[in-house]
Amino acid sequence: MARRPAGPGAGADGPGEAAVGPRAWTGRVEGWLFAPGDPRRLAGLRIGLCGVLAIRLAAGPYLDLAHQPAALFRPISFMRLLPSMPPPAFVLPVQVLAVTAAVLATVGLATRVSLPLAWLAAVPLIAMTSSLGKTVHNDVLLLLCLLPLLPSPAGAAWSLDARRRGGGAATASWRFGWPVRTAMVVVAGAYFFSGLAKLLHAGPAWVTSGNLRWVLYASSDAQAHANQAALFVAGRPWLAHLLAAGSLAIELCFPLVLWRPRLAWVLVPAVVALHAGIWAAMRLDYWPMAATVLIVMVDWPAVLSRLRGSRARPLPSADPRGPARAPAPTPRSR
Amino acid sequence: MPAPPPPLAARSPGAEVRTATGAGAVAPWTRRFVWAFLAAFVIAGVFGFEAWPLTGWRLFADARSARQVSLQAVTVDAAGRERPVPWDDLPVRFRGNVQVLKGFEDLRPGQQAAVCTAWADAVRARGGEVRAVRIYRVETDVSRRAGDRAAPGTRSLRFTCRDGTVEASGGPGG
Repeated sequence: MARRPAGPGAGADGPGEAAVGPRAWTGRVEGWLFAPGDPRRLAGLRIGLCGVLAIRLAAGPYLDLAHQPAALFRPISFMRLLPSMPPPAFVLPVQVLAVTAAVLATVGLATRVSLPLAWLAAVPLIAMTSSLGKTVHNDVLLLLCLLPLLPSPAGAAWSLDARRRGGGAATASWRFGWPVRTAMVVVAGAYFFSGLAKLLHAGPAWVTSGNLRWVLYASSDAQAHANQAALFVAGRPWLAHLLAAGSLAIELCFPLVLWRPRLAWVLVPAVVALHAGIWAAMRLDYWPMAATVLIVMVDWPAVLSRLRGSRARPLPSADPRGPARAPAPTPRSR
Repeated sequence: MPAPPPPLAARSPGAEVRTATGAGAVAPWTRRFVWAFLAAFVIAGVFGFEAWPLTGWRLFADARSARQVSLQAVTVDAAGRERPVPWDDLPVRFRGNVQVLKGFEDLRPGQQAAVCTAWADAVRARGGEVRAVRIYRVETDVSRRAGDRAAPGTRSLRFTCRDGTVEASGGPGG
């Protein structure tokens, strides 16, 4: 969460800039999306997201699902083309391939090939877990955040590719910025749309009614042993309303981190706490989603620099002003 | 007179399209790729469109009421004893029971029988005796508590699966 580029609306609230049209606004967003970025920040995303993907793929129940009776198959999306879950003869090699590719992408070996391969092999496997009748959002955010990395030079830093190539660290470039910022938009959008769906489907009743109390009571009743955390909240209507309002506010406000990066200090821990609370009360494990948020929204190179007790090392750059500054925009950027 | 504010690009770290290294402008394919991806992501989110992995992000989106209706599957042994299907003890491939039960009524009889057979076989595989599978409609008021649990609700038999056939009883569609 440390140092990060200013958001797409940064500076747009000045009195002289109040009147901006859609075209100018689009230009601002483009200017932010395609701004040069630190190759180490992109590498941080590659290592984190591919690491989580490798763990998920290695531990996933895909081989078990491959033995599912066809009568229980509830396919989503492209899985509707199949009459049942893919057979073990398909699943096992794909899982081995996907895990191997994800590990290679994590360490940055043959990244241009291993990263897209890991993603492509992961898609049918993860689709299997969502073909039980309910979309599993846990891995969806991970897959969507990885998508912008597929055509990017994600192995330019902190990778075996870079080490083998030699020739020093990569310089800041637009090639390293847009995958990170696109993933940030996806994370922010995921929470915003999650809040929006609550407003559209339930309206204010999601907060003002006993909704959260009944959800928690039902969840506790469905667990083998009564869940004391769920019962604690459900038994206190004021607390349930407060948490419901807080959850909705966190989700709807999350995109503000793109405009005001300092808000990440509040909103990112809040989202992690939200997932921790859901696990404590409902035993629903959203750790991959929480991990994705942390990986994407935190500026890991800056964090590492701080942990080492030094200032962030300046990026190798032809710009004498360093990577935190850039020359005046070209017409192409507008 | 103060200098005019620098353009956004100059104030955000590196926020411009040409790089400091002169590496060139953003490739057109990149621009098209990013906008197409974000447009699809936003459309799915705003309209609740499900085209996995694009999704409408409906997480706990519906407001629940205290009165909750669910379907419960139980197995029946030779002595007529009923036991709830132990979903948590069955392999992962049998999870999703809540969604399968929700749509059970809309399945064709042959599909309903196949679902019951799959569940019965799963219970038998872990040593259970199954002569029939019954599906009950359970109505509970979770606001009425008996200790840490909801007070018992009302239960009505909806389907009985036995020997490859399904008998519906009571209620709409039954």
